[in-house]
Amino acid sequence: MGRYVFSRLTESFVVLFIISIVAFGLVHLAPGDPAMALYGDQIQKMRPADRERIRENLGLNRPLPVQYYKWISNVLKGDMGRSFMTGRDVKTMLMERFPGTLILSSTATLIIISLTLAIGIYAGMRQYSFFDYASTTVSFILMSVPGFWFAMMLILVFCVGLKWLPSSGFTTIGTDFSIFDMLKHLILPAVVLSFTHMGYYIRLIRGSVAVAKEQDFVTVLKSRGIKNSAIVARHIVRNAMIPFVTYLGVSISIMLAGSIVTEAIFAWPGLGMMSVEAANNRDYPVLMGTILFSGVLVVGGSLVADLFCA
Amino acid sequence: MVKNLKRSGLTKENINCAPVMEVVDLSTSFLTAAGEIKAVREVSFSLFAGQVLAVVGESGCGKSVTARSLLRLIDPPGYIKNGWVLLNGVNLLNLTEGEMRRLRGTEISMVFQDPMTSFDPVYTVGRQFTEALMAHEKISQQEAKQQALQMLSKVSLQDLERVFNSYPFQLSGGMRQRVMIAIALAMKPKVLIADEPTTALDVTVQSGILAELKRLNKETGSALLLITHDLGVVAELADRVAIMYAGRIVEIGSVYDIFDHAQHPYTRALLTSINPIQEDGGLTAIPGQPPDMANVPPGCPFSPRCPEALRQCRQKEPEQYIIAGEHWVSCWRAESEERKISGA
Ligand SMILES: Nc1ncnc2c1ncn2[C@@H]1O[C@H](COP(=O)(O)OP(=O)(O)OP(=O)(O)O)[C@@H](O)[C@H]1O
Ligand SMILES: [Mg+2]
Repeated sequence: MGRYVFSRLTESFVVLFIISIVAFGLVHLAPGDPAMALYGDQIQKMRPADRERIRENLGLNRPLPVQYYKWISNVLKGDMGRSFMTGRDVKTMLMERFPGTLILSSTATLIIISLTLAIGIYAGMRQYSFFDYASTTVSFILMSVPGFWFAMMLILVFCVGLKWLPSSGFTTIGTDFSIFDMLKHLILPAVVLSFTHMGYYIRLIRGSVAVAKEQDFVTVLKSRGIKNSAIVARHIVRNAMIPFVTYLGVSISIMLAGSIVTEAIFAWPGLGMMSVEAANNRDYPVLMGTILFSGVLVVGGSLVADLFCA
Repeated sequence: MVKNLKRSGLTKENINCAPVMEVVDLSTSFLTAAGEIKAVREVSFSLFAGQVLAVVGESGCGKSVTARSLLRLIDPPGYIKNGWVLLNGVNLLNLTEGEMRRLRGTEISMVFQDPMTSFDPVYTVGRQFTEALMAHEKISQQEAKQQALQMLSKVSLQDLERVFNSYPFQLSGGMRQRVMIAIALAMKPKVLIADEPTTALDVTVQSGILAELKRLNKETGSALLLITHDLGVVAELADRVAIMYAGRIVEIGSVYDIFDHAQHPYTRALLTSINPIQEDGGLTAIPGQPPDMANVPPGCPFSPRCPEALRQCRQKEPEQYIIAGEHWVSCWRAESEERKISGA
């Protein structure tokens, strides 16, 4: 066990190191210039010498390996740098945006767990029944419909048509914060985010329940006179949960890393929206910060899930 | 019915020690795309307290289906077509599912072939033991544990606390099977069914497990139905033997009857096969294949392979004839009016 933990930890660090290089590389090799983004059209009017000075101030004229070394050693010291655009500390910005993503993804996770477990277990226990076929069809629809389209449809129905729910933001602008108001804003993004994951989980649970219920030990338990309901709840579901928990760990961390599409559509102030903004602005430190932070969450999430299952 | 009961082995000699379980004309079929598979056909036998009935036959002849039918553990597309499974005079086939459930593990228990896959991998064996006890008795976890430990000590396990707290994969195959037996016998069932309990185990531990089963069977006075491929095991452990072929019992009798006075050509072929055990657990050395169960040929199902087949063997299924006492055979060669029990 100790050895396993150690090897999984080392593995995680190696993966994070690679992520940091990829994050740095992608951001710096992508076309576009922070100076341009920062000053927009004005940059055309600038003299080349001025442009060079801006690049130097931002530290962009040095060789890439040197820049990487400087960045990563600061990160390891806990300093993720400052935004090119606003000059604010990246770490502070991440911490400001993280709660938004946390609220959104935990709501989505709750929806995923409760609905997919109920549907998947029921379908798996009654394989090839009408309910099973219906849930399979629905899962494939959920898997193939893109999240943004689904979001548009919901907005059309609930915001434009019925006018029941707001279509964007965290709270209504110009009002005092109220939980109820926030929940109303939360519903649609949480539904969209969970539905894009749900098809896979229904399939996953349904499949592993169907496999588990055919295991030899189920017959053995029946032969001991244990109630069917107890066999399902204690044994079949418990066995079927193992892959579910593993994947859920990964899904949760992916959602925590910020759901770019969902957050962007609903203007939900989370990490996903922050990275979209940073990418548009060529705000290298913020962008690298969000990518690295996401990496830590995803790698850490699967590490926790694996150790939990072991 | 009286006629049928007679066929199940109830005779003068054992009439005063009435059987614990009587199985009469039990038939179980599977409805598949290939048609109805008659896996078990009109099987009759009795089980007596403290005695071992061995069931022997080639792979696929219906031994496991018979065993599972007794516990009513046949899942669709299979179903028990008809017959009686009488336990203390009560026909189990007429009980509700709830009544049947309460008998499983308490009155009839079963030990399965593969002790690896017979345990749920996510719980300790101890937890699975107490779960079985607590399904039938209103006792606390602690009391259940005490009972479990006591039972584990009876199957020659050491270091009981550690075994109790082990996950299935932490125990050897032999140890798992001992735990399995302990759980099966914990509630002192009247009938224990062991379906090839040692086939999946190392040869070195097989005899130990079997000796254990035999000893506990005598001690607890339960009746043991032992399914096996191994005639050596039969000779050593069994009191009576049933030979199965293509879903039927073709001959049944005491060990002495079967080994020294075998009547059915199939029984004799089995006995002469010197090395009866194959890698896959099938019996060898009898030329030909057992019939396709979805398509059993007319007449005696063994006739295509039978060296002694008569013309009528291929046309009509043989009736059953008493040879002596509780020894009977289903073969045209044994035909005679006074031996006849009933039509097949
Ligand atoms: N679930 C099922 N669906 C269809 N047919 C089945 C099913 N289970 C068993 N059978 C049929 O029942 C017949 C008897 O099977 P059974 O498992 O009782 O054989 P067995 O004598 O125990 O063989 P083995 O020695 O290999 O364990 C088989 O030939 C098979 O065709
Ligand atoms: Mg079998």
